[in-house]
Formats: sequence, C-alpha cells, structure tokens
Amino acid sequence: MKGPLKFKRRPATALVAMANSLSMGDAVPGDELRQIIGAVVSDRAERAALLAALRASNDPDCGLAVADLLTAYASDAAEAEAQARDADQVIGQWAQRLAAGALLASFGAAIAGTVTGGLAFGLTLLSFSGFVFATASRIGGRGKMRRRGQDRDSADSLARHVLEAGKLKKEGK
Amino acid sequence: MIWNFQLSSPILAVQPEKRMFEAMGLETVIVSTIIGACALSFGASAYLFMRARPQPAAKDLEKIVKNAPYHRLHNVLKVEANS
Repeated sequence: MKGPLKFKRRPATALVAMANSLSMGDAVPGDELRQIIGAVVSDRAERAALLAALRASNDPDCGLAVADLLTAYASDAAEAEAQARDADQVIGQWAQRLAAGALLASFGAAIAGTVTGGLAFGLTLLSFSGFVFATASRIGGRGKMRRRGQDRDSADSLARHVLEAGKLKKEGK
Repeated sequence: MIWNFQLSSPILAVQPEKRMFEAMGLETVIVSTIIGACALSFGASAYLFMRARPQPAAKDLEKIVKNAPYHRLHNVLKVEANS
C-alpha cells in the first residue's frame, strides 16, 4: 500500500473523508453519515476498500475516527434492535394471542349455539383474519430486528478490523 | 352478605328491567368481546407494521458520495477528482 495510490470516490472513501472532516471540526449531516456507514458496513467490497484506504492514509488518527463512528453506528443499531424486540414481545406476541383467543372463543360460541348463522361465520372470519394479520406483522417486525442485529454485528467487526489495520500499520507490517 | 344487600337494594329490586347489564343477552356479550379483542389485535398489528416499515433514505447515495468533503483529505489520502 505504499506509494501514491489513488482511490476512487466511493462510499468507503466518502466515509474516510467525513471522519477526517469531523475530526477537523467541520459539521457533517448525521443522516448522510448514517447512510454512508450503512452502505459501507453492508457491502464486502466497500469494507475491503475502507481497510485499504485507511492503510494507505497518512494520518494515523483517521482510523481511530472511523472506528469510533462505526462503533457509534453499531450501538445505535443495537438500540434499534432492542426496541424492535420489545415491540415484538410486548405488542406482537399479545396481539397474536388475543386474536387466537378470539378465534377459539368464536368457535366455542358457534359450537355451543350462542352465536349462530352469518354472525358466527363473520366472527370466525374476523378473528381468523386478525390472527393472520398479527402473524404477518410479527414476521415483518422480526425481519427488521434481524437486519438491525446484522448491522450491529458487521459494524462492530469492521470497527475491530479498522483498529487492527491501524495497529499493523504502526508496527510497519 | 354484601352482595346480597347490593342485589336486593330497593331501586334495583323495583325496576329490574332497567338494569343495563342484566338486559344484555349472552350473544351480545360474546359478540362484543370477540369484536373488541379483534379490534385490539388489529390495532396492535397495524402499529407493528408501521414500525417495521423501512425509513425512506434521506438522499441518494450517489449524491452523498459525490459531495463528501474530499477536500479535507488532500494530505491524508489521494482520491480521484472525477470518479
């Protein structure tokens, strides 16, 4: 990585530029930074490009700034994951149980003859569709939770690798 | 006993047909309970759906990459100007 190696403008170099700019006291919009980090963290080529760019950089503190940004992103993702898990366990699970209970109750009322005819059919249909809807929304919420978990893990590992790359560079390897 | 006293209170004993919950049939109670439970479940599921919706991206990624502060990197890293 020695010599005047030129890098392309891509999310990885944009992240290095933003981290450098932040360490010099310039403001960088938070949503742009988040979007760039998300793009770098989720793409293998960008991760490799980030490590290469940091090893080629002349400023040893640049890697530290990038690693700090990545760790902050990982902790944000962990927070979002915890919120999604809470919503799933507190709301999603009980919505599903409530709908399943209503379905059983409508079956029971229809079998016992308390509710008959079209009303019984309508109730069963309503509670069944409620159960399906609750299950679908839970699946959606859990998908988001999993994505957040992946984001957190990859940002964490990338931050570790960035710090390792900085150490190797300092040792001249 | 307390509940006996409440049930045989003069107002309720004289006009039993005026008691609101007494006049409700079993069918009404069951139907309204099931509909209420379904409404709660639907509301909670709609809330979860809204939460799980992906946030719209603030800007186009290409535009952010193009406009990143590369001028700050002139001594640190060489980045091509027009790529």
